[in-house]
Amino acid sequence: MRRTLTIVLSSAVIVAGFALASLHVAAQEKKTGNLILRGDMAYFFGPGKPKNCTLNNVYKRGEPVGWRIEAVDPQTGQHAEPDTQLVVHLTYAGQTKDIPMRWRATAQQPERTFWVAKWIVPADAPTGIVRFTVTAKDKYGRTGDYKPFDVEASQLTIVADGPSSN
Amino acid sequence: MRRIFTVFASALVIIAGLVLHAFAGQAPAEKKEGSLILRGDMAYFLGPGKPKNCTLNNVYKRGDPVGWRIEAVDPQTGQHVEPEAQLVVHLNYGGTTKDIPMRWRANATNPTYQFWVAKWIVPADAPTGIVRFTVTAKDKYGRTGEYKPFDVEASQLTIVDDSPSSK
Repeated sequence: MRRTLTIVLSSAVIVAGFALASLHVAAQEKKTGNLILRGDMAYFFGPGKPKNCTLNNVYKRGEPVGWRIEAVDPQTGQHAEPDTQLVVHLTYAGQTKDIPMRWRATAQQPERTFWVAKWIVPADAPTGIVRFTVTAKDKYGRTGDYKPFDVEASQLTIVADGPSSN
Repeated sequence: MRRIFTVFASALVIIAGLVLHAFAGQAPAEKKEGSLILRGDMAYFLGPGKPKNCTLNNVYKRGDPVGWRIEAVDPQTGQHVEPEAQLVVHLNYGGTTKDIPMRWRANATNPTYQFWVAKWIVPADAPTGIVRFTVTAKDKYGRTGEYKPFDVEASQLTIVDDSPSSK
């Protein structure tokens, strides 16, 4: 009887130990927290063109606005998986225009570990500030959003087509 | 009977130990852990009211004011860390590293400017070309973080000639 009790108790201890240990491991591997987004705006004229990829937030009609955003995993401090979905939400002409971003890194340029999106300022765009946000969601369900710094002069701004204003 | 008691007591001790171990990583939910995540940009810092002030830019002429705006984000909250966090721009210029301390920008007049800033006037004798930099941060909990601009040559801090606007 005593031997049976000893075996039962020992088994219980072992099972409890494994259960707790696995719970702990599971908790460690779980992807928690919110994605943290960072990035900027730049001209997206295309490779080799003057001013391409230079920082800019003031555009004329017909110019290419480029967003470069990195979604950072708060647990690792590194970028999230490339299959993370990022979208630019542009408030334009009274509506919200969603522009999906794409993972920029390629075999030729593996260091470009961020997402990009491009928008050509329409020919009939009114001058002024165009507000936007960027949201992200990864396969673990984590989300995050980005807004430019709350400084009016730094917002995405459309200006008239006169002599260079930037 | 004593043996059963011994086994039972030992079992309790082991379970208690495992419980403590299992929750050791979770208990300090309020503990400040992880690395700070830095984000930001570069802009003209010509001064309030001046044309182009605070517009994004990475190409400067001699005498132009380079401005950095960086936010240090707490990975646990997704919000900026305490304003007393120390941020420093490390500029690789003239063969040495020049450290430029940043300051918390928000104040009573501009409470929405929730980031740190630093300014550097491009010297009159600066050679043209790219000037590399990083930004580091450290908060009162000992957490650190680092910022580097995207690894794209055309987006680096670049000094150009004083000829008519090259931007």
